[in-house]
Amino acid sequence: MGDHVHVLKGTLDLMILKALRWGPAHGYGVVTWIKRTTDGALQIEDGALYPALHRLQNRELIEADWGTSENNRRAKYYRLTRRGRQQLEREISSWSRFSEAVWKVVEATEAPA
Amino acid sequence: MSEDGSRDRLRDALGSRIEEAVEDEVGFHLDMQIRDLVARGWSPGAAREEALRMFGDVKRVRGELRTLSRERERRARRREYLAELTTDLRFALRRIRRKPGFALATVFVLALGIGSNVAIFGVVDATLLRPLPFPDGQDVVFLWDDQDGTPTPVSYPEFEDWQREGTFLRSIATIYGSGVTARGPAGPERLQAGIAAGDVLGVAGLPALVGRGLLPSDVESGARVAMLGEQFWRTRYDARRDVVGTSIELDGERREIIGVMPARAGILAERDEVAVWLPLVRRDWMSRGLHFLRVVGRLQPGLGREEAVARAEAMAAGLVDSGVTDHRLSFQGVRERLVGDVRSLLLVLWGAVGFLLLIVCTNLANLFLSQAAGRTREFAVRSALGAGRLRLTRQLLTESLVVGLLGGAMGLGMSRLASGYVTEAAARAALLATPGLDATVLVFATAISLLAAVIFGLAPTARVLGRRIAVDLKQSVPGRVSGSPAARGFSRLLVSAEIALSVILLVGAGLMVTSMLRLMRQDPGFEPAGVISLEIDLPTNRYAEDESRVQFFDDALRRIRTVPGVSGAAAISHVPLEGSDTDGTFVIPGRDYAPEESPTAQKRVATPGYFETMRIPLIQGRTFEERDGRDGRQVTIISRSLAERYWPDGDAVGQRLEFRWATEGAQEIIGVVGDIRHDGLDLPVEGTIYVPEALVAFTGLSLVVRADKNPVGLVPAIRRRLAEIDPLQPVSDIATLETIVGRSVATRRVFMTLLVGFAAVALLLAAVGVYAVTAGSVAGRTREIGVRLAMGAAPRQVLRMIVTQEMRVIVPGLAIGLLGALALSRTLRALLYQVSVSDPRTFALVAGVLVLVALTAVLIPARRAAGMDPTEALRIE
Repeated sequence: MGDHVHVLKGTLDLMILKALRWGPAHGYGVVTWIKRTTDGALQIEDGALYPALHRLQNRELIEADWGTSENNRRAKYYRLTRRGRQQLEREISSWSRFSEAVWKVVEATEAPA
Repeated sequence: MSEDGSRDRLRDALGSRIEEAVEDEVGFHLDMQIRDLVARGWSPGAAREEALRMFGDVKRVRGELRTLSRERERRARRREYLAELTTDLRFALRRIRRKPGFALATVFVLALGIGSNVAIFGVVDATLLRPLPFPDGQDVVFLWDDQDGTPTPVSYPEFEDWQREGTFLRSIATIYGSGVTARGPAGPERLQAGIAAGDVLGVAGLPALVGRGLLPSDVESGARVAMLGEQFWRTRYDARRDVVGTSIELDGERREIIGVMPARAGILAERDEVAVWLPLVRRDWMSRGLHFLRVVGRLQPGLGREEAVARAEAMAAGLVDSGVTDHRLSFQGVRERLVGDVRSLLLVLWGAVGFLLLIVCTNLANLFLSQAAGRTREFAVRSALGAGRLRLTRQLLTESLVVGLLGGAMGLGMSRLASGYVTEAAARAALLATPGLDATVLVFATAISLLAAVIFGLAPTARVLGRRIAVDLKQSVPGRVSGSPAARGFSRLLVSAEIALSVILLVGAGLMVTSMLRLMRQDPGFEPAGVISLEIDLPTNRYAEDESRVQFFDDALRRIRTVPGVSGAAAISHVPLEGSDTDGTFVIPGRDYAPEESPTAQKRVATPGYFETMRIPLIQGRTFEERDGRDGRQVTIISRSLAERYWPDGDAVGQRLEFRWATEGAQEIIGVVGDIRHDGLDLPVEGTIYVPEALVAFTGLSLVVRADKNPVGLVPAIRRRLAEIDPLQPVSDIATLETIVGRSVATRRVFMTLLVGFAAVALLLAAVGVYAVTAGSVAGRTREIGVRLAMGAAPRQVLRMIVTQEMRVIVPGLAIGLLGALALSRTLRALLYQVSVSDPRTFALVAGVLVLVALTAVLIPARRAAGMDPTEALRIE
């Protein structure tokens, strides 16, 4: 902890979609998955995740159903739709291109002409 | 698809449901977080605090989630609705495609009903409902000289009296319609002119479109100025604003254009299109005895009609007291004047088309009902598959709405074709009508289409859904379309209603036809066949001298008589039945009458040969000869009713009478001729005084020419003869007298034709209804009829059984219809001529026709049933 990174606009969507890649999950599951995967490096409030989930749901990239959680509580489970899956692939590929480009700059050895 | 009922409940509970869902989701998160923290060793209190800290602003997030959830719900609901609507529409279209004949027939029938309503409504709206085209239009009045309760045009001196003393008026103007000749690109051209004094724009409450209006100084000075009418200005001058200051040549005289008059002002002149407005210059011949002016005024604002009438009467009484005149004054509002009698006519037509639409709806309801009966199984299946009642209703309504809107669109098209004809019926009131489609009419068309669709769509819906659908699924057999006995009972009720409504329309049409037949039998007092009339208006600047005008007409008639095929030619100041502007009082020397009983007559100027050409019979004395009006003797010819009334002993010839009309002193009666109808075939004859043309020398006269054969073919030759005398002189208003007679009954004829058309359609629809109901009931009883036939019943007995049964539908409908007609025919009273509103012959005829038509409609399916093979019939079900 300590070295917190601000989340780039739009990358939260990518992370949520990715979190749901392996199957339905509730909001808390998504939050903990993201924290665990990023080692808690990202500075997001847990609460910020939910409007993002709802927006994705409104865009029909994910859909939701009420189910029962592992400790027998009523919980809202999200899962990817077909469009959501496609969107995830698109975002991953554009993110890769973006980060590659940024890396090239970061690792550059030649001074500007 | 969810159950409709539960969805409704959901909608009500939606707010709290969203609330709950958001609460659950956020709560779950926090609880899980706390649990995990506690598991990692936090105390519950600290864990809770930490969980909230990690979450951020709980309240804001909740609010955001609620908004997003609501948005999602709305979108889902809309999508579901659209999906259902698409299904319904696709369903409706599929049904149309599957039965295009049925669909086309329903759409067409509906289009008839809607089209007729829209056409009539267009005229009713324009003439009765829409505000008048003048600001504070209720203050604009037509003022008349009241002679024995008859509104009569006004003399110029009277106009001046009213202008001077009429304190109840804010503005006053007088207009008379005339014609002027302009030099057009294709030779001389006749233009409608409004000759006006006073303040026309002030009365209309409108500013001049361009330039200025006519001023009193223009009138006093007789200035050579002119205003252009809006329409003329737009078409001929391309609405150029710089016309003001230029000049126009009218009747060979250059006039300066001072402004443009708005088209609406033409309504005050009761003319369609006034091309130019000229100042009225007082002439010597405009005496108190010559009533030729139309006077319009605008009441003082806020004065109110009653107060205005009181003050007008006081003014008139003052004028009578001071001995200036013995006439009173009456006034009419613009609508009253223009719409007048047509009002009741339009309202009757409106009622008639309303009935027609009801019949159409009833018929369609019946059709849809029998359709629905055939679809009982379909609905039962759909219902079993989970479609709720509301859902099925909506599907049925969508189907009827599709038919309704298609019918409405087609009807709108039909109404465009018919509205010109209806406007003709509106006569003068058409001045208020504007051509083209306006928003009100469009809204009306859409509204009645939807309303009609709901009416005829709901009946079957109610029937289909009122049943226990599970029972239908078990019982109904595919292919059976006759419906249940209850449904047939309802159909019967509808058909009875249709019959009643068509009887009402038939009676109305019958009464109008009888009136028209009686009217056309009326003798107009002259023989119109073979006569053509042409109007000639001599410009006063080129024909300033009386002698020159007399000379012109003299020459013209002499030359026209030489045209081969012409058997007579003469000139008259007003062609009969073309309206009259010149009735007035006269005096019989040596006799005294109370003012309200003073003798009145129509006054006409005629040339020799007029009575012969028109074949108006000479009863006593002689007709006009060349010398009359030239030999210094004051002579006159009167018509029979005057002679009989004032000289009942038959000694009128040789007596004298006196009237102030460009004549001096007493006139000697030299002949008595037959009466003619001046204003309409339905109006009583009026006594007429004829004056020789040479004595009065009018500028405008109508030539009447009698031909051996077709008078229209003579027009070119007549024009050539006239051009020989004066190539610059135009001819206008060419019409055969038969056309003029026809025109005088046009309103009535159009009205009658429309009513007959509506009644015929109604009768046809009722017959179709009777047929459908009979066919349905016969089909439902195939087995029973088969049994009867097999048991030895004669086909005739079966036939009688069916007819008797269907009579139970027809007779009550007929009886109710006749009673209804008796109650409603009173509204026609003003339009009937020599026919009582409860004319027994018409009622009997209508009843006969209806029974005949209905029986035919019953007999077609009944005979088919009675003629069937019993073994076949028994095998059917």
